[in-house]
Amino acid sequence: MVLEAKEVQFSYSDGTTALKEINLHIPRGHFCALLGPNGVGKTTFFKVLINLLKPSQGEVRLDGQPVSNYSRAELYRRIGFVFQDPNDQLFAPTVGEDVAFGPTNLKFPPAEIAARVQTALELVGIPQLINKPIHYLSYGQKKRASIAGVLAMRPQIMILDEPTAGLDPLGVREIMNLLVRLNKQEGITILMATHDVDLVPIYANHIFILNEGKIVLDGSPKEVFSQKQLIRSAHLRLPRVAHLGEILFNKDNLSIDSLPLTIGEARRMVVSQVKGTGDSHG
Amino acid sequence: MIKESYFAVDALTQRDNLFTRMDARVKVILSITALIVLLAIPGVKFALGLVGLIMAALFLIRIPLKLVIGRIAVPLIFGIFVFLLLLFFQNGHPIFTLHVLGSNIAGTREGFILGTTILARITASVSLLLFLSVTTPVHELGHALIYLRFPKVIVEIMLLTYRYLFVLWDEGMRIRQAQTLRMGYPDGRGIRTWKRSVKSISTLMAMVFIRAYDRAESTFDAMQARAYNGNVTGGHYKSWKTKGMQPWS
Repeated sequence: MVLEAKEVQFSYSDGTTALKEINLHIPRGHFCALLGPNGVGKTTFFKVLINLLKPSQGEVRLDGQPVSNYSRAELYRRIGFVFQDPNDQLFAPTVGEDVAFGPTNLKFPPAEIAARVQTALELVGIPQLINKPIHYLSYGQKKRASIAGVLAMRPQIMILDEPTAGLDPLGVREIMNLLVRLNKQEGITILMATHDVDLVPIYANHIFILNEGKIVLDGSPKEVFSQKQLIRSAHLRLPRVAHLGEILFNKDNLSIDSLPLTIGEARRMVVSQVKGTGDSHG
Repeated sequence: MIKESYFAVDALTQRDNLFTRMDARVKVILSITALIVLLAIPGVKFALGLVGLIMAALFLIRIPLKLVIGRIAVPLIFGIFVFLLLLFFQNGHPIFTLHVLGSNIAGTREGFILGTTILARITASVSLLLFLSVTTPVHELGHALIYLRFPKVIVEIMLLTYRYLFVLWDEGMRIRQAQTLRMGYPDGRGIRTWKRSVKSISTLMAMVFIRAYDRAESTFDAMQARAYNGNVTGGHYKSWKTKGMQPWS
């Protein structure tokens, strides 16, 4: 177990309760998604996870230790946080300087910092932008630069707040492929917030559904999306492909063991149905 | 238009030429030295020589004349105003007299000398700063200033201001466009139209301040999440430009 939230509650100073009782375990090496509608407290929860906000009750533990026990340098060396709006995060004048910010604060020698900056920019695919002023970057490039800024600290866990928000379909695919690569090749545990239900089953192997300040569902995409009523009551919906499967099952009497969540699963389901029909006719 | 102007200056610093290749510290040291000499030496010869030299350099690296005039015009108008004030109100030997509204105003020799000196110094100083701004990217300037032991906090605020100038400008423009689309700035004349426009502008300014505050909070969170310890720029600027401009080198 890497990161764990136990009975976490959080209220704002105006009395609004954002998080009521959150229990969550993020195992090492997993690709997790936190799904929830707008304004449900995903960003607040992430800020509590990384100790930027203190919970009113409960605690967050990293490798068994409360996050409040870690020094800032030690904590953020292990957990990287990527903000939703890259403009919040990119404050240095150039890409290279921004990516160097974290390693410099961790007091690495200059050669190590330069190497980390180079590696991080190569990982996100923008090494050529090292000396580029931030305001010349496109939104997608800014997203990549902000991820590089966190990668340069070589975290074990990366928490990303809506990493695909505002990107075009190609941009979404590129960022998600990058995250999968970081998860599979670099072994970084990923936790991302999103409300894009179509995206999640393709990439994530563990899903948490946050609604009304609580984690109402927790499990693999198959387990989570089989709870159709709970998903809908959380102001979310089934992935489009799963919805099609549901209609085929309910209205067209197609026999389906479980709802398909991805195009690949749907294809296999359709092919098997067609073949089955063909066999029965033959 | 203001943003385009910033972008234009910024884009010029990204060009490759003799002066952009030069180390920022050399340019800063030369500029400060020139400013000190400018203020120390009486008369206008050095100032005019400096203006001529800078204009030749700007011409050499093909800085658009429109930009040069645009940047120098405002301080120059101010300088001419100061020159006229000194010419007519400085005590000394009269060199000519004007009859204005039934009274005589005399221009004095001492006033002329002092006025031309100040006008020349203003023009030279502004030209010098213009030269520095079109040949030195702001981040290099910042690192050069830190290297030269300028207070780090001031340089860091300058760098953050530079970075967020563009972001806040965009936010302000978005609000302005949204206001325009909902008749925040109506056409026509009259006190009502004027009042509506003033109200929209005041709302816009208040919103930009609030958003700047929000942005500052988020940015501070982002800095903390990357182990912020009081240094924005970090690192040391040990090597000269030819050995690499990265601040961490």
